[in-house]
Amino acid sequence: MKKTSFHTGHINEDMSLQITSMADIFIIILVFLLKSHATGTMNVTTPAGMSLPSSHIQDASVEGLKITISKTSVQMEGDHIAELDNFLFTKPALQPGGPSNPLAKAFGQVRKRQLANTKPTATGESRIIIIADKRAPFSTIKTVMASAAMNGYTDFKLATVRGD
Amino acid sequence: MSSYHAAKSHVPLNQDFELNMASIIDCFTVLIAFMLISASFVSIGILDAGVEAAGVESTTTTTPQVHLMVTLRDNNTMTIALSGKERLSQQIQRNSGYYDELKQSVLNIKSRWKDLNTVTVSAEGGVPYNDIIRTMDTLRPHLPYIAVGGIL
Repeated sequence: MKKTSFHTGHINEDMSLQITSMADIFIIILVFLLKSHATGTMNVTTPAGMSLPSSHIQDASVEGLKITISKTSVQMEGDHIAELDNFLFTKPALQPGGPSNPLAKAFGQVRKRQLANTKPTATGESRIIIIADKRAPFSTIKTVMASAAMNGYTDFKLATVRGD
Repeated sequence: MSSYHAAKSHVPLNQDFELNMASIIDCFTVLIAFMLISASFVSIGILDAGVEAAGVESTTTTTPQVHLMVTLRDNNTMTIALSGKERLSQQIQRNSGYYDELKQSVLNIKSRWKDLNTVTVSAEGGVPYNDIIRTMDTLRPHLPYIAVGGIL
């Protein structure tokens, strides 16, 4: 019978990991992850418990003033602007015809700052990205859009989650 | 005599050196772990929505022959209204498969009015935002310019 190394009791101790191929795999994973980071240009932070609606849209590389509508508040670039009661504006905060007082004031201040800093022809500054919970009623979305539109923000982008 | 000179004169230069791969692998492992933790696996899409302002004249030189308006109502229905050279009003029940019915209606209208590429989406106050987005998502492949109505 042919004796194998197992039967002879001689264990080959010169067993080393193929470090070079492992490094190759790691480089590929690293490049893939770096590429994913670079292409996901839009940075969206949502409050806890918020779920965005889904769509099959592809493009996402836009910048603009981010407005987040959650169950309890409306935030502008992360700053709390208006209180909501179960997705609804409270009555004293609303103006006749739709817009909200604190929102209109906040939009007005930001718009004034933008116009002071940029050329009057710059249109990219009038863009609003609405990041709203899928359960929010249209009346709330309408109030936010009306408050923005009356301060010169006319380009609305609605943030969604891609796919189902 | 220094050791350098000694090595130069007596020991031949060894060109068969190896990189210390273990430390490089360590760095890669840390980097990959960091990137995986900070990576976002949810990708964000953006729906373009214009605002249809009441009473404001259109700046376009050519007036569209027909105007399509889709209105979502609180009573779980949807109205597809066509105005202009053709007048049409169709009501759809907003149940689970209404997107297919909406798509079919829009395709029927598009077959008659090939230059139609604008639609106004409006809704009553209590309609969830998700329904509006799903409606816009259904309409967008056939009618690329979507305006949100009833804002101003």
